[in-house]
Amino acid sequence: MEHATTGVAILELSITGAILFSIFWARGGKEFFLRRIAAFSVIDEAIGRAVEMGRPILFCTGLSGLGVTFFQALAILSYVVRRAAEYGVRVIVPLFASEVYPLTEEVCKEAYRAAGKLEEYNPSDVFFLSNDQFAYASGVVGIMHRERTATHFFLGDFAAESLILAEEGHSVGAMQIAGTPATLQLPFFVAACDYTLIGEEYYAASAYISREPIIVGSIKGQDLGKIILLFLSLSGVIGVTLGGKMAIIFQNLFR
Amino acid sequence: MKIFHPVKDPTLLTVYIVASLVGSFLVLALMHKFLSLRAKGRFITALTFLAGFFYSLEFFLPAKNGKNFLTPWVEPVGDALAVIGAFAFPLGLVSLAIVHWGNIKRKREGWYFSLVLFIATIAMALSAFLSYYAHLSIAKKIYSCLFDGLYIPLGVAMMSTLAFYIVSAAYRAFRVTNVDAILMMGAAIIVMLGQIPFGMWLTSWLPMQGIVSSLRIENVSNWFMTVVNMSVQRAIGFGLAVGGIAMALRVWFSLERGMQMGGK
Repeated sequence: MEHATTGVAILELSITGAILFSIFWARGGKEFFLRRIAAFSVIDEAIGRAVEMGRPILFCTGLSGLGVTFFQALAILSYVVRRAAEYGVRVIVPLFASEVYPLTEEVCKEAYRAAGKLEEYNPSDVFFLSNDQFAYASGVVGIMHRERTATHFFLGDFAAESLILAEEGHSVGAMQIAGTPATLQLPFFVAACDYTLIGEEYYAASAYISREPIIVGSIKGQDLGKIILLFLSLSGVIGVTLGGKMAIIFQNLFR
Repeated sequence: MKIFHPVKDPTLLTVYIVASLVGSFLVLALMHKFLSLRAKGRFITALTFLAGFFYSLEFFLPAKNGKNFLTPWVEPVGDALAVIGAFAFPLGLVSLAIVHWGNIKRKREGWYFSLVLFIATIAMALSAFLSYYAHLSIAKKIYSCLFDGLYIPLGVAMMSTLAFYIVSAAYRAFRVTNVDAILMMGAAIIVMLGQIPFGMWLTSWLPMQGIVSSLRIENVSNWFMTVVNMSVQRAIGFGLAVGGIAMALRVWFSLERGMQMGGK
């Protein structure tokens, strides 16, 4: 395993410090503004569409295993399931990794309980499908066609199967909301889905949905972290352009 | 440091498996019996913090020849996490079996596919076990036929459909509906032409050197990919990296209090 150099340690600790500072600032009562994110704003509309059509919702977490990407997808899933339960719409959740199954099942059950409709929870709507990439993709496509799903959420880690899922979803006429930290898959989602979460918007999910001050504070901290990176990038460009000792310093800053 | 190393002796392997299963279930049963819901939550919070603390300390502490005093423990801790994760695997299989058994029992549409799943699972598992442990040649042939002759071609066939999906997605993406779409289509045409001999032939009359050579289509295409496209990719990457750090910190310090983390 690699270890932090002095430059990397200072940079990472600065970003971590900025995030923690913002969290404690928010905990102290400071309210931060969170800009509107289109993909989150239309979640209720997407659920409403499924209600009107009387068809189920498909929530696909892609190839996510237990990790930060999956936790964000769960944050949105818990909200979607709760809202869908309130209106009596099924949410089908096929899973790629078996280790996330118990957690996902518990979240869905908890969402039904929060909606006051625990008796309507159907355990067979959350299931492990396959841990093979294309077997999983073909399974999800099969569900889309058999169940004639009205709304699709693609949130999590995706690879080559992203376009198969999004295009098949488009062909069944579903409204589609997608988001992934895999930058290579973003163009496919942008082309084939109605709304796409781009970049760090994906990690703002729990803050946007819960509006919990501490989590919103961490989003503010992210902005501070990006300012640090922007400052470093600009300094690097100027330093390397000037040449000489400055260029050598910046070229070796993180080595 | 190797704690979870493979065991070759079948007797020792059986003893290890049985002892680990009995030990694990005993620990889980005791925790379930004696720990309150709150205590369980605190236990998970403490364990999450310790695991995160171990990895961050290992990363940040100065290392000599790529190692510090925690480095030898990285592999065993990683193995232990994999072992814990493996406990959830049977749950996934049970979930799969319940869903498909329900399909067969209620004769739902396409129930025979569920039957195929059970037959395929049993056939694959049996042939793999018999070929690995009993060295039966017939089992090896069946396994090879099922895995190399069926499973892999099916996966490849699914992947090959991507070629068609790319065309249909590209068609929709390049429909000229506004100024943005015109710019995107223009850039796409240049990049595509820059990758093929015909495109290069179009501007082959331009000199290879000097300022004018920048207008050769392969150079314009390269500029789009390495300057315009790469800068945006890196900007998104920076945002994702910082977002990932923030999310990891929230999980590490158990600040993520949504329903998905046991909150309300």
